[in-house]
Amino acid sequence: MGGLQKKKYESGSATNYISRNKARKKLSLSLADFRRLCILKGIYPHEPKHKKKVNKGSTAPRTFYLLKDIRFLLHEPIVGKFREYKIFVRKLRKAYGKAEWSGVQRMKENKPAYKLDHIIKERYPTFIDAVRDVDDALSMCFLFSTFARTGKCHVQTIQLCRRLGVEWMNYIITSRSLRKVFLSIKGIYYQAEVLGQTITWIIPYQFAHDHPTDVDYRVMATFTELYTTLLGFVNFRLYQTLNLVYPPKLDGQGEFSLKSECEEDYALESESYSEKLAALSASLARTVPSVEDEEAELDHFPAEGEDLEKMETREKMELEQNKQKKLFEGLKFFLNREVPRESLAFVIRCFGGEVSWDKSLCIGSTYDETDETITHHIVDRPTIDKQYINRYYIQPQWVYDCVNGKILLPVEEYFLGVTLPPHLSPFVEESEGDYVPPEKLKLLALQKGEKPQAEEDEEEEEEEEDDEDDEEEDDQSEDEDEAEDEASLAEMEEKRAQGKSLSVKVTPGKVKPENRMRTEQEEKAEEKRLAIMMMKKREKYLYDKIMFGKKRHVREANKLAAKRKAHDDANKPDKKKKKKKC
Amino acid sequence: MRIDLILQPDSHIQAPKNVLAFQQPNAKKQRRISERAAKLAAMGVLPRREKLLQLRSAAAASGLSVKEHPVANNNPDRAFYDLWSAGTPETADPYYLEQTKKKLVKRPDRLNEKPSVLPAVEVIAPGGSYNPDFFSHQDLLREAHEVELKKQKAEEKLARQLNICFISLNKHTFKEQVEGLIEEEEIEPQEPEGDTEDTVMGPTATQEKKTEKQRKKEKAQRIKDLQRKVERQVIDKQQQLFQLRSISASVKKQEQRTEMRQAQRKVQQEAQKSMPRRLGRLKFQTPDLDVQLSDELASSLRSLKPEGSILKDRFKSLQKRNIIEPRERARFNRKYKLKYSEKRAFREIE
Repeated sequence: MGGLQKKKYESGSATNYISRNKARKKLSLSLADFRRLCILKGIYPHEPKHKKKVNKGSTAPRTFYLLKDIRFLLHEPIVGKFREYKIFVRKLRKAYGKAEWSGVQRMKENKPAYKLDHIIKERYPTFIDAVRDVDDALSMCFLFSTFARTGKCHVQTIQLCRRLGVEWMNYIITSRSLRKVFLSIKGIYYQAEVLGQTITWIIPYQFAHDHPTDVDYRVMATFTELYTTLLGFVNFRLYQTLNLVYPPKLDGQGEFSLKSECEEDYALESESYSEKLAALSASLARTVPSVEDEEAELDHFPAEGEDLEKMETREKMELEQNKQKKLFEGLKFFLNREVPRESLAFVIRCFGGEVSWDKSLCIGSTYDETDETITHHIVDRPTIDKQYINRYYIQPQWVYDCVNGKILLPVEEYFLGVTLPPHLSPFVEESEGDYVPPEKLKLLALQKGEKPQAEEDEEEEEEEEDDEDDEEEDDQSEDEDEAEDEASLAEMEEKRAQGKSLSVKVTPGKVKPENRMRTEQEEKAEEKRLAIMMMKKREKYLYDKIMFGKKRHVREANKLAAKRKAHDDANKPDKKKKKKKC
Repeated sequence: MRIDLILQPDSHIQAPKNVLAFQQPNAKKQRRISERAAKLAAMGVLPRREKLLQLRSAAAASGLSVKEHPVANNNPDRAFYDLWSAGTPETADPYYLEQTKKKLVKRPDRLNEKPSVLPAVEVIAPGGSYNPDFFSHQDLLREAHEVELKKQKAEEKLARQLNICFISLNKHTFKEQVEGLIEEEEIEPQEPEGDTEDTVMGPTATQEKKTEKQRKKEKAQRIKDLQRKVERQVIDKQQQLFQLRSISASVKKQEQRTEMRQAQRKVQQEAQKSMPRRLGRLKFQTPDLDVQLSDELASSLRSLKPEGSILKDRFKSLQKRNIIEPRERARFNRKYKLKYSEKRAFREIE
């Protein structure tokens, strides 16, 4: 019977997986080369469901790859390039050893290199696939561009990353696609909407940081290699969609205004152009000169499958977005030395504003501090010596909060020396019943319109400031009807307390117009109450339990709001003292 | 000289010439070649040698190198083109591409799926803002605090486990010291009862052959047992009719239990999708939460001290998304111990 029996581990999952060392030997590559190849091609190790079967009975932790993936790798042309490079290194070392300097020179000139274009085309067959994967690439590129150019990783890579980062930022500025910014303790998070895809990336702060030792730099360098290639192609295509020249050139007008006498002070001749681009203060040249025509009012027809309501909401959203894109239009900013110049320049220009800085700070400043038409001067110091009259001196958080709130916030809270309101995260979507910080409530109120503010202004004269603040907060969290009633009741109570006679008289009755919607709602509520009363004891018990669970959120939110109020009340005397001092 | 004059031929008939000496076997071919070369040169087409020579001289004159060096991938001035344009250079016939070994192998669709559902860049919680709201900052601090508590508990557990051994030893030392000193009734060792030994028969003891009677008896017994069983089964089946309620109740309970287990398993599977898989020898270590204590919070953007490194964050994110496996630095282990020996010169000094 020998030979016809089925042996263990000869078919099934045991033959579908291959361990890392076996895969490496199959490809005849060194471990570093194998890892590089896997990263470039996008081959990831798999965790098999039944490790014992795949590992042929042992449970030793091993890294497994799918056998079909490794077989696919065998057809890759750059595997040959890796082997060539290995041989090149060997020959070079021999030539060095034998002191054949002409040979060394010749070989260095003919160093084998590989291109990753076909890999990018294979991994991202359409442009939209590439755009979806670009946020990882962006974070990595911006991270590498902040590295010091000591030579630990190729200086060329750092330069390429910087160039690609600047190109991307210029594209976002020209297309006005930035939506959210968040300053965190790690770095600055940006979110933009490009071709319908939401892209989030993080940029580290420009301060020097020491590098952690437990990070594998070779792996990160390989990722960067792949991502720089991807980002380059994506940039090219994006620039094409906007009819911009690639590699980017400054617009003729902008270039002229940027030409200053002492260009050599900033950068070498070869680098001055790229530095001017990096300054982000001028617009880019277009291939097709754009004609500024008025936006014709198109007849809006509902798209397929959309009813009138959805179309209207979509239109509304588009209008809001267009309004948001022009947030800083017409405003002129000046950045002081101590604020993060690049980040602020990027954000301000993304929303249509003009920005400049001191000439000695960086190349590309368009106007001076003494310019009369500057509307906002961004400072981060406690005080400033020279103050011009017709401009606001504000802290940088105002810009970011305006972007997140999509409106121009009142400048008073961001003056120099004032305790700033907290910088809220725009990436948090609060569902109903969750705790909403009062600053966010204020922001929402401001967004809805000036109405809640106007109501309170009238009562400011009579009451103290403290009570007014409380009432503001209270009123905003209740329904509008109740707010009106309470306001009127408060007035009446106040009058009684002051000893005035109430102006209540018996007047002929007025016919109140019946609010049909209101009556319907009341009827429904009544029916619900009746149904609840008619439930059996057991069912009522269950119902109570369910409602208890549902209202937990609301209860917690109320608790937190009460805590916050207590905290504010405790701090109010301190605030008052501070105000009196200033 | 006169001798030369004498030796000159005095016949007016010339010596016959050796035609073979003048013959060239491929004269026609050579003539044709030279004519063709002349014709091509007149048109402007040069043979390869001449072309290369001209190129080399032109390159030497302008100072460029002739060979095209492969451009490195990370050259900062490298050019990009439209990769996804419809007019690709490789739009030749697929058969032609296959025969000339220029066709690239198709990438399997399985490789286009992402290995994890987590997003590439995870935004930090709102408490991580540089100027956070009080409650969100407290939430973040609480999370960090819980992580620390867990670590502390694990350490304490370990210490407790180690202590227990020592505690138990302590208990027994007293007994050990006291053994033999206390006068108690001597606990007599139990004697094995001699009676039982005799009656217990070894398994391979002499067993007589079973008699016919015994066999018949056993068979009858067996048949009776079987019959009883069958009867019992019939009765059980009938009785099950009356037990329907309890049966249905137990079945319902079982179903409920299986449903609960199924739901739990599904929830676990969904949770597993977002967890990092175990891909190698090392387990994934969750990175520490980046949080600044209340007294470390910056009052302005200028005085902000950034916390955490983005390089580490990206590295950990790649590991979390199952793109690379967690690895530690490779150690260098020597196979043979190093031998140190003093140079003779130094030995002589002492």
